Amino acid sequence: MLAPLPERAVSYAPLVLFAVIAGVIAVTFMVVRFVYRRPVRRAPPWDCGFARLDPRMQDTAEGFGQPIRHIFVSFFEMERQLPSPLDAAPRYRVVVGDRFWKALYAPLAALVQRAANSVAWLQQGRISVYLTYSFITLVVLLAVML
Amino acid sequence: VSATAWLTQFLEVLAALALAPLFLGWVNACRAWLQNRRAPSLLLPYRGIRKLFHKDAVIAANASPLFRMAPYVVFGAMVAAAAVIPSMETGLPFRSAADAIALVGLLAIARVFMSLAAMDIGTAFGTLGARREMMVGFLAEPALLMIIFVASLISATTALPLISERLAVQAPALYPSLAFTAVAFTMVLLAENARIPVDNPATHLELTMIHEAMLLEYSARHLALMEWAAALKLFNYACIGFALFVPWGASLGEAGVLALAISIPALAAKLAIAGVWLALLETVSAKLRVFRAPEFLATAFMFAVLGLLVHLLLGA
Repeated sequence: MLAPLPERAVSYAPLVLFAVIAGVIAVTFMVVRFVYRRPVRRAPPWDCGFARLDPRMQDTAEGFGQPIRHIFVSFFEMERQLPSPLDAAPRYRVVVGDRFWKALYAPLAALVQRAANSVAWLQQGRISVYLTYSFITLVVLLAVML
Repeated sequence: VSATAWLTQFLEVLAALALAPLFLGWVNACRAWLQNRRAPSLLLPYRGIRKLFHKDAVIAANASPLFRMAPYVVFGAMVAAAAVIPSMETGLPFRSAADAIALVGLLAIARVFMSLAAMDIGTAFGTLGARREMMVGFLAEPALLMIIFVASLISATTALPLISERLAVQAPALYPSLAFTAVAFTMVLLAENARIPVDNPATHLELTMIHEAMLLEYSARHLALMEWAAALKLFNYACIGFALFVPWGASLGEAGVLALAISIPALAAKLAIAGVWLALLETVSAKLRVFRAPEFLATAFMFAVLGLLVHLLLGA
């Protein structure tokens, strides 16, 4: 569990909790439905006074994640091309990289790769060499055991 | 668990439902007095909710079923949270159903559904509100969890009623760690409930909205449920605060009718003082720019960590 405590001190019954939430939702829905039974009308969404909303003006995942990039700006490597107001064909391009990948994981991966490469000369690909390895292992083990 | 315990549980949820708009009205009235305005009636939030319930609903043409379902889910999550929080009585039957960490999860469910509903219509404002709400949420949540960890380390349990019970029966000593976490909790409460340093509940300036921007497309009974849920959230947060930092006065573990009778005026007094305190904090502080909010919440997190360190290093 998440808490820095022994298991028995943590109490959590997901089914009961789910039942409580579902029960409350059902009761609320019934009450609202039967007591305040008013018609529902469909209308165009509010357009902030700008009458020609189209799907291109919708927010994107890029926009949704923007606060995280803004707050943790020092953790990201960002290359951004912003259009100027005078551009005839405005273009927005952003490339986001992970600084930790470059600084921490990539060197670590390279290190592991180098170590693996240097160990690889053991794998000569000849059966006689492998038989020698087995023989040496056997001798060493026998020497240790005796 | 006896029948009286279940009755108490039921009464407590009813009390939360009934008192939440009143508490909101009280905070608003105190704010008005502090700003030298004439206060609106304390009952104004009730009237608003009642009026909204009696209106015809208008929803956007492209709204999905999620949009119509979200108010019920948000409201349901808040009521379930109210059932777990020991506002009057700590011997609640539901206390083993959800500990304080699950409670944070319950509040997160409400937040996620609210944000999804805000993005459902696809207008820029809804998504803007959802994005900002999630930003505040993911920054406030670690601070809230850290606050709960401090209290649960002191009382060796994560169940909120038990934390409250153990803190209440301990010899009245001043815990420096709890003092730090109380500051952190107040900051988280202000941020999570769209109060002033982070959001302004009375704003009509669209670009600064967080909470209100998410509700722009709602009307009538859906809006009523959302507003009631928002009032419940404030009430719930206040009661979490009481449970952690001023647990005295609540009836301890099925102590009987008399203790319960005492706990009601105790809760009322605590709510009254908390309302004045909230209004005061909101009056003396100015609204922060949206991207200053992370600093505010980072400060809250830092206070909570300080509380944890004080507890771990000094055992106090």
